[in-house]
Amino acid sequence: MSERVLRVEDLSVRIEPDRPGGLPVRAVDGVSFEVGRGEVVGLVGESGCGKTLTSLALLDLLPRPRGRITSGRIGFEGRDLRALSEVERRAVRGQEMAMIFQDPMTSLNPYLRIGEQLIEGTMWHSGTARRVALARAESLLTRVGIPDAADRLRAFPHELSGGMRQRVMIAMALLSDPSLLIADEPTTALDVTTQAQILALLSDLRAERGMSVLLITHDLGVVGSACDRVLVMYAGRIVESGPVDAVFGDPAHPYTRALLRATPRVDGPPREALQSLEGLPPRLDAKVTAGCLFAPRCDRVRSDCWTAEPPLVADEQGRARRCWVPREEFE
Amino acid sequence: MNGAPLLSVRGLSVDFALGEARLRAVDRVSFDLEAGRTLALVGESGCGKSTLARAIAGLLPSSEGSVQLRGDELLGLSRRGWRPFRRRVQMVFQDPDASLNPRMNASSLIGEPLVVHQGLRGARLDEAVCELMERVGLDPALRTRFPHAFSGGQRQRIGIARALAVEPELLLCDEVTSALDVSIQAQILELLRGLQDQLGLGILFITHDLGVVRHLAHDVAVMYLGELVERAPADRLFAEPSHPYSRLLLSAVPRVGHRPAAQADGGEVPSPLAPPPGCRFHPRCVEGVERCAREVPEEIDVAEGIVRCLLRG
Repeated sequence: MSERVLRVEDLSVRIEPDRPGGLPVRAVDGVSFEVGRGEVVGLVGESGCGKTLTSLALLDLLPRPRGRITSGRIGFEGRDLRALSEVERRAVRGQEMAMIFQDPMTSLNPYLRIGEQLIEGTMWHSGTARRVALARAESLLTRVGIPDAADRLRAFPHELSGGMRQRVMIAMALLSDPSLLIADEPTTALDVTTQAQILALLSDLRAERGMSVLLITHDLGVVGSACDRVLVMYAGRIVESGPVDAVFGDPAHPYTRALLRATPRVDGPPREALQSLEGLPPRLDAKVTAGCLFAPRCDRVRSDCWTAEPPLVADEQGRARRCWVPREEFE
Repeated sequence: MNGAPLLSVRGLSVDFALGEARLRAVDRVSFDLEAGRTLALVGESGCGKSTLARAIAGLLPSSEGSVQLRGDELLGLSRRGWRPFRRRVQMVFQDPDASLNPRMNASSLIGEPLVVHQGLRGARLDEAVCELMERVGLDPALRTRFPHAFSGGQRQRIGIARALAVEPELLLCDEVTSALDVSIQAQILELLRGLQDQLGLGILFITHDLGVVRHLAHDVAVMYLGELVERAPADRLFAEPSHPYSRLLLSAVPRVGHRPAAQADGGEVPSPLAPPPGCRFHPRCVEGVERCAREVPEEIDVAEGIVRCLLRG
């Protein structure tokens, strides 16, 4: 990897109980990873695995007061974000580090025209003249593939389709020329043809601006087609990471392998049975057991899996896995 | 049992009145579904696939056409007229939360149709509920729990158990796994496949996920702006899709090591309130020629299916 944009070390997030007598949840536990400049990294896992809370922690947007970072370092463009003051962090968030979410309607103000929402940030942060800000907004809308951008500046969010609204969100994120875009399920609510357009747009923007992308998704197909590297999360931990083609072509963790076998593929054999992964992920509020958290669902489980949790061990090929079963015994 | 297909739909249309305007959500759709087979109905949001299923189930009024179950006409039946067929046609929805009464426990939810349709009571009812729960992979010991105590996948199993309680012949499944995680989705899909093998159910499976279709369907019908544009055996549709829209859909699916093909112009589905003249797909079609904007394509019969395109046949 060349230059690093983001370096997360040993990040843990705790969510306090919402009622007296409840137990706190260790939602993210000792997560470490890096994102290189111009790299697209996929953070993949099933609901509740901690992928969204990881991204919210990076953006300092954990739900308050219940959610907080309990440990770890977030290195971004050479600074430790956790050591910055609130004012300094605000300058990073939404500027150098921008974000888009699954549902643009929750991020867009339904009462404001698209143009007003697009120029608000620029005028606020850099004191740009309204006319200049509008011209820039128009050129960005054109860049993200919105036809008749000048007209669209006067539209309200509800007048746009879901795909067009997501393009507006991307344009808004690009206003500050961020070095990292965090995209949380950006195409999950979209039809497959629109999804393909948005993924192509993100890929083009990465190429032309050298922008890094952290793509959070549950869809292995999206990761496989759009990302350079993948981080697989389970029960608040990264269980496997590495280059996408290597990890998906030859998974080294039983959970990654099970996920791939459970995923229906258009290019698979016809009417082939899916191998389902039985059981459910563990609850993270209970007293966490000593062993590997995947052990109860694992098809390769052995006695040492119940006694201690395996560490995340990296190899020379840039891959890492958290599993007691030796790699050579895996297949 | 007579020789008529399990489900036979002919020229079925559904209209919605929107003030002065009329929205034709389903436009002259025809197909057959045999027992023990799965027909997947695919298409993008708003294409009319859910409306079609609801019209077949008698949950929405249809404007014209015919829906026959083993040769008996269902269209135009009163609520009372539907009663003998209600048991034979069951529907499972995407969101089990919206279709399960939160104040009823699993036992009452699954047992309700048994009480209504078969008049079961007491120990026999309890026995039947336990048997159904086992059949869909739920622990009968959990039958006194309420929906909120179950996971999303378990709630979907309750929905399926409820539908199976009355031993239906036809199951209409509307995006039943779309809200589920992939590991849970695989469990539900394998459950449906196993039940079909055991019970010989005919399944109309509505989904936007072509990967799911590949694993489940014998036949596929592709819908665009209310019309079927192609119907074909699944093998053929995936190997050689004929209609340009089927090709676009398949090429857009992201998969490992394959950058999905994106249409450069940002082509979007036009409003069904004002469908384009000529072929409805022509503004987005890469193969379109001048006459596609003028002439309306009709269904062309091909082996074991149809295609609606001026450039085919």
